[in-house]
Amino acid sequence: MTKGDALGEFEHIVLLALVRLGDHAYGMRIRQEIEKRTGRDVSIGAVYATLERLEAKGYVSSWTGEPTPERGGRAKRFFRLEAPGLAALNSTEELLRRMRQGIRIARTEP
Amino acid sequence: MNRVRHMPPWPATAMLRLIADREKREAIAGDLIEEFQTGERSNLWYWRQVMQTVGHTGGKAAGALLAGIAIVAAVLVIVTASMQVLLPMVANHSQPIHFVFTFAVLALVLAGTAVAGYLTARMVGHAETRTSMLLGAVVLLTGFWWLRIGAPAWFIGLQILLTIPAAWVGGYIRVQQKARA
Repeated sequence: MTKGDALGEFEHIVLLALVRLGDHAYGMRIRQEIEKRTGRDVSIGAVYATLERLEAKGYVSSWTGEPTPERGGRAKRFFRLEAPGLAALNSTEELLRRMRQGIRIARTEP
Repeated sequence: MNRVRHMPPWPATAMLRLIADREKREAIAGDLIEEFQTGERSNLWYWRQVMQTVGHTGGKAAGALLAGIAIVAAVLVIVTASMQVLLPMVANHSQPIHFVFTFAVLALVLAGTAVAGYLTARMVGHAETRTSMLLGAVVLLTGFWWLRIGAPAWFIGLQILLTIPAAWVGGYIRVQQKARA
């Protein structure tokens, strides 16, 4: 795994959200999924900025859906995880697993 | 029973127009409107999302513009330093030599502007030609003043005429390069 393949924390989270959402992954759903699972307040701008970076790396692809009335006649932009993205996700997971191996992380009280 | 849809604040939606990329702007506006109407989000939430989104996109464009300005400034510093050395050498020469020297300075600065336009377009990643032309306008307004001191009228005229097109050429090259990739 080269340095360029390594995923940043938020990139990692966004790719995992794409895996969870499958064919229904678009901006709002991705943002909500991340917010629901991480408890973080996430902006739609941050989600799109990350998705565009991942698209530029070839990790995800996007396409435009049909405009719908509940969106004020605007179309959804769907995102899909591509093979290089899946490979980067697996590499990052493996890297974290290796780093965790053999150590016990003490739980701190809040 | 039909539920009355509450509309998000229009000035906030209008602010999304500051995002240059039309496709992205439409997708983000649609996402926000959909969540606002179905998720019972407040006006404050909507405003915060819009401001953060514009900040993300605008921040990237501002960074790219600053980088472009830094490149032009570096070219100007090099050209000015070279002029300090070379001007005394050509001072006693004929007018054609002076003309060639001044023209070379102009060409060098315009080439630097084109390179800066290319790199700005590369950094910003979308609306390349528009951003590089914006760089050209900023450079024209702020960057060239010290080279104009004592410069002939044709030099100043060509600077005004060619700075924005030079920056545009940089952006255009980036667009062509992207299309080929």
